Amino acid sequence: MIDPIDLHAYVDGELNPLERSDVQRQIELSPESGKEIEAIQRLKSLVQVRSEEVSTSKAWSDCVRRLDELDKARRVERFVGRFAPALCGVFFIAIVLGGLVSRHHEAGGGSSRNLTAMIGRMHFDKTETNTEKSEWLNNLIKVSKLSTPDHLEPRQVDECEIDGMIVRRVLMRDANGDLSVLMIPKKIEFEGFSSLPGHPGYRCGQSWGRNCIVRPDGDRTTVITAERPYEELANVLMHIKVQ
Amino acid sequence: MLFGKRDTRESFERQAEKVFPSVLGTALRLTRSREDAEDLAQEAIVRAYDAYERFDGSNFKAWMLRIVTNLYINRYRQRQRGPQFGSLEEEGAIEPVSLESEIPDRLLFDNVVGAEIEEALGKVPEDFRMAVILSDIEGLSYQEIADATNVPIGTVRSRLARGRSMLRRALETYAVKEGFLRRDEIE
Repeated sequence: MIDPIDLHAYVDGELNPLERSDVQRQIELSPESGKEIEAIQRLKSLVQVRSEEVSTSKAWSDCVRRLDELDKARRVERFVGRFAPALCGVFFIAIVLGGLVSRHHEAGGGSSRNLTAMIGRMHFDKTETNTEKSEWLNNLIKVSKLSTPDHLEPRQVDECEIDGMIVRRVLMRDANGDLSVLMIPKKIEFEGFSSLPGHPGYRCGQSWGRNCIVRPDGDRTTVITAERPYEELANVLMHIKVQ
Repeated sequence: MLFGKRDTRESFERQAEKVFPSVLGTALRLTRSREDAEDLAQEAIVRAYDAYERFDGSNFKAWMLRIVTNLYINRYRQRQRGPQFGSLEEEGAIEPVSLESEIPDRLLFDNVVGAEIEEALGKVPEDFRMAVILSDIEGLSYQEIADATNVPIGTVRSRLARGRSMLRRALETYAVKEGFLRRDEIE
């Protein structure tokens, strides 16, 4: 009998002419091979004709929907790809404008500020008379056991306008030297400042090479600055109560 | 450019819709699960659409079935639990498809229906079943089957011969079980 693999290939028409005529010659000599060929052909046709039809309508509509989504995604990709530089430019301008608007808004609302820049722009004018100074100080710094220790002496009061805010500066002196207290009439966050351990609510940082301590006082902010350690500044600030 | 893309989509959809019954049928016969088959067919359509510009224009159906088969081999088959016995049996002797008597063939072919063929196909080990499906149901050539399944033509020939032989035995088992073929008629 002929190799069964060759018989299957013969039925499938997959032999070259030479192999085909060789198999045909052998089939004529072998009735068993002829029978096998008929059986293969019957099985082939049985499988081909009677295998079940598969219903495809829902599956096909799902595929079409998926292709639609794919097309949509491609269109977006193409658009982005084509206009990427322009989109980048638009985003850049939006970011710059947003930054400017935000900066302007902050200046008005006083929500965030860089202390270094602020102090750099300060120009203080002297108040008119010593009497006025004293009155203002008496109002500003409540004279009490805690707020005005004997050795803390107010020396001068100045004020300046920054971004529409009147900022007052009180120059003070104690046994360790001069220090400045700034009173800002708005609540302000200082960039780059960190919290001071042991003093809840106090934040410390540097401005113009000097140590600063910032303390929120209700809707105002008090800043003390001098060339001395944070802890010492914090201790002085603890004795100053602003109303 | 826009119209070019639209034309591509239309041309692809036209051809894909025509061969989709074969794609889904093959997926179903390979996975033996409607849900997996629909996933597989859909994935194959998306892959084909992605690669449509690289299609050489020869035989779209064979190309699609190649994608389905490759996807199945690479993804679904790895997920299946249990060993695959198909390749272990490739070296054994091939039984003839024909039987001693002509009566069983007539009885068998007169009584068997689609569902039984599908069930019998399901009993044929996967590699052999794949060859039978692609050749006898989908009508691919040996070369196209070899391309689709990533095996040499010689392997396709032997898998096909062995697969048909196994299918025939599975159909006989069914016929005996259903009572329209007696055991002594096939022995």
